[in-house]
Amino acid sequence: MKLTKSLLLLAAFSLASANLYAADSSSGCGLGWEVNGDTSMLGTTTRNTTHATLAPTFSMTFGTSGCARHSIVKNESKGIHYAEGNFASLMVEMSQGQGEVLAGFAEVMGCAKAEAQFGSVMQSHYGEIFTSAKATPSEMYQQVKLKIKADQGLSNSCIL
Amino acid sequence: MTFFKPHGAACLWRNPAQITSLLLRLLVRFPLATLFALLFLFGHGSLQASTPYQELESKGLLPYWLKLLHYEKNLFGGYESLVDAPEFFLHPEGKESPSKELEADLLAFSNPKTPTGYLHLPAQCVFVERYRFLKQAGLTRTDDLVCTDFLDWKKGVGAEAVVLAFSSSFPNNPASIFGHTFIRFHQQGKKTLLDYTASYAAYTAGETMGPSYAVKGLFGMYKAGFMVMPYYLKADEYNNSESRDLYEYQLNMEPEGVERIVNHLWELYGASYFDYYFLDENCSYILARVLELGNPDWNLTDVNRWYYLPADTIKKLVATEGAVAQVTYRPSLKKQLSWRVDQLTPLENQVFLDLVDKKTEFSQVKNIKVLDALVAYWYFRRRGEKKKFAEADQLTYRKVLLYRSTFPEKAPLIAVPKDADLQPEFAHDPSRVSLGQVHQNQTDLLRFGFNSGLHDLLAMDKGMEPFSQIQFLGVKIDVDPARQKAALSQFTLIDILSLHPYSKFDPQYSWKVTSTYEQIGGLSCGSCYQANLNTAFGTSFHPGSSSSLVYILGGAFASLSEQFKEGHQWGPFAEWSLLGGTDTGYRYQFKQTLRAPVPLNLSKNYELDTTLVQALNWGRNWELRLINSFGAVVLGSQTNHQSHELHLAYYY
Repeated sequence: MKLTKSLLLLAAFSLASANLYAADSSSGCGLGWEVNGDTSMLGTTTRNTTHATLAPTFSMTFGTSGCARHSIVKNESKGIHYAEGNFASLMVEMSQGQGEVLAGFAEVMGCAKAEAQFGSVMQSHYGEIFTSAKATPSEMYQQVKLKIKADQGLSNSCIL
Repeated sequence: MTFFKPHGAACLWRNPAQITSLLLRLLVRFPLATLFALLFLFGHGSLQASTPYQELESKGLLPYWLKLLHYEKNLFGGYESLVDAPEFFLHPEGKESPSKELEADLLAFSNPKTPTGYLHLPAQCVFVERYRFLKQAGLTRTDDLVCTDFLDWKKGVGAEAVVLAFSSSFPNNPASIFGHTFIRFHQQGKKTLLDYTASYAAYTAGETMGPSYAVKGLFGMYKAGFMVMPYYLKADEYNNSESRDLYEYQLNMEPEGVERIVNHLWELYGASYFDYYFLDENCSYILARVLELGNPDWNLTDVNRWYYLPADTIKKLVATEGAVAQVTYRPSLKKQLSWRVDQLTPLENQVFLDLVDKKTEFSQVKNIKVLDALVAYWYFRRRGEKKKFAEADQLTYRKVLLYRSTFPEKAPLIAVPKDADLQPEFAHDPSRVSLGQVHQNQTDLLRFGFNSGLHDLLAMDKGMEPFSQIQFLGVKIDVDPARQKAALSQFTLIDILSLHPYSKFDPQYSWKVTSTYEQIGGLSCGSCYQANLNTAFGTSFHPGSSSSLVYILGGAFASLSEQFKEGHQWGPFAEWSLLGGTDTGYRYQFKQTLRAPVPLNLSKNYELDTTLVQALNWGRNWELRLINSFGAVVLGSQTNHQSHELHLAYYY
């Protein structure tokens, strides 16, 4: 019995200390990197999600805290969901005027025919699109829509 | 015709002539009863092959039915489905009975009013693949319903090609060396980021990670299922949030095969979950089973091991002729940063470093390449530090981005070249057996070694993150042929070493945890066993090129044994090591460890072990290892011991 006890103790201790050391991981939601700040060694291997419900309908829910309902079927929400899921990357690529994520954003905003122009216009209005260090995805999204409408070239090429 | 023969009827098979005369007599005396009896016998099919199940079998279609419902043979020769949700089965015994489930399904298909699954749709519109398959097999002639929900969803997913994505290990998280797989559905001409993915994950409902999470994951206490989500979420999660590479294998699959997979995902999505067992029925195993539906010739799940790894799916696909069309690569954020920095000239690099060290103000820099490298550095920090990203840094970060936006020049698109050496199909297999000879304390022993997994510092690291180690459930058994004795000399529960070379851009510490149980004093001492736990942390760095590494760790050890006065011993623990190797299959490690039991007295009370290990590996799974070890044990009086070992190992 002493042996089993010591083995169990060792096992528990190993797991606990390994958990203590291992680096951060994120969960499945697009904004998971904000939500989950805890450390876990086993977290990344299990690929968990913060998804709370198990009853899916044909629209999907992912994550909590800001992640909206996303529907494969409905097109209207594609833009805002893309903005939310890629917010951090868009913040970077818009300042640089070009990028793979930015090109995808142009497409979901209906500007597939004018990707390069979309990038340039957003870059030149960067300060109005990301108004502060605390800018939110929905604020950014609304501003982008306004800039598309305000720009003659984009308002012609984009399908809003 | 050996399935499902009713016990009662079995004894009637002995003599056909006897049966016929008996039947005729019965028919005369008890016509109705006999007719009913005959119908009963016919109904069970012991005299004729007429059940739907038997029909499937005779058409050679039974394997697909079993695969579709995830049946596996259990220990008693029967079947059990891996799916645990009751909604997945229309028969109460469906989980254990493929034939009863088949009959229940056929009945449900012909009765569209019965709501099924989580979506409460007609059975035909929930179990779309089962229906398609059985209709094609001729087992049902029901009219097709128009399943709008399913069809809209299928159109939205837009699957034309199937890509299997593999993510590499996560820096400073050795358990992620297991890797992870998910599926991406690609449509010709569509932007990759807008593709949809299917991945299998456990629903942990936002639980915080910790030991209870680990226990639940190990023992199937979480539910898991398939999630379908846009690829951009996955790419962001793996590449940016976790700084992991993605290797993607575009598969050659017939359109019908792709369709079967998509149809089946709808079935899983609408009516199932699996109890999640981290080791056994984990993400990659279930995913591999789903992929097998795409091509009946593919066998992706047969491994000679009790557990299954994501890399197994890749290895099996690569080994299957014609399965993989091409391999593409999506770099981690860290690699993207390195690439931006690599574009700089030495002079530009210095400006960049000065900016990072805040010796220069970014507003004084007009070089776009340098600015883009600076942006990449800040972005890497932003995603890596997450909640710990300081408020002051947030403000600086925004200023840098705003400043960059004033330059209309566009940043070049990231084009990190693929490092094919890291592709998982080149890695050695996880389990290991070895046989060798040990010379220790004037005795010669034979040593059998077995390791469940996964990888250590001396094993070939192609296809894996370099300088990583995670070993679990290993044993060493020593045999003394001269004295005809054999004993367990060591049991390793877990041995993890996470080495993360310290760098300015990525300051992380290295750490180690080992838990072993070993015999001390050689085979002559019958009961000299000791349980050990070591834990330490420190730093590591490249002394020269990136092919060698030095680590220095400090921590504590604890040992339990009847040999010790109080049954235990503990104290500080220190270890340092130099590792290196060549491209041609040679690797070495020189290591020293020091244990000083409490009460501390470093002149009279310590154990210093010095070890040199050298390994030669070839052919992906073969290895020869030489271990020379010298120990000085000073506990009051000094005893020295040495051991030398040479063994041959094979990975599988």
